[in-house]
Amino acid sequence: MNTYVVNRYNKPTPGAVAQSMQMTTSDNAVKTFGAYKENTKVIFLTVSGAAVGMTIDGSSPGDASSHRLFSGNSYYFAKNLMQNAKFKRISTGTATVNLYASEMTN
Amino acid sequence: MPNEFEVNCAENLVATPRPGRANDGRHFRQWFKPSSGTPAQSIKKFFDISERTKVCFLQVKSRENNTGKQKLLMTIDGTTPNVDAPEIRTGHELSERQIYKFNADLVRAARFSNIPTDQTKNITLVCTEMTI
Repeated sequence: MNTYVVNRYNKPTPGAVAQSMQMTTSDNAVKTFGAYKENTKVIFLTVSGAAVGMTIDGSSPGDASSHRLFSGNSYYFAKNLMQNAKFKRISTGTATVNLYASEMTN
Repeated sequence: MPNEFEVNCAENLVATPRPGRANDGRHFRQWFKPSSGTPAQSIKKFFDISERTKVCFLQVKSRENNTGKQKLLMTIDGTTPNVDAPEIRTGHELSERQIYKFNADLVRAARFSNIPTDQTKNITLVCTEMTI
């Protein structure tokens, strides 16, 4: 039997410093986060300001070809997923996109 | 012999209230009150969470009628939330319309701040202790 255990209540990774990413209205560059601690399992990501597109397959996020992460929401992603994640502003609004990522472990 | 493949996805989906003072678990509250004019930044922590508590439910409340306009910022890495312009702001945004469920150790380490430029109402942050 294979067992897949999901720990929904992870703790902050000791010594890890959160990373943030901002995209102004004129910033349409594809961005990625930096390296994470080795013992980090999960990334807690919140989105504020405006929506952002995310891909995890190496492609560049586009309006119709990306996961859309909406402002005001928070997401849990595996570290391995976030290491491959690319982000790009897709909102036409005037607010600055702010992504804030904290590292967590079991 | 059949080829068996079974996946057991074990999530503890239902945290229960920690037996305490109230029927629905012990509550802690932190208040962020704007003074007259522009409110100042106020940074709060929860200091008295029981060792037996495993999970905390956090909820941001105000008299904004739950529109989601009133928000707090939370950091868990020991830094202080930066509440300046969005271009340099740091911290996880917590809004009124959601209940956030976090590991109690995370909440013990967390720092919470109002966003003075956005705050128009008194904000209450409620922490309910839960066990699993």
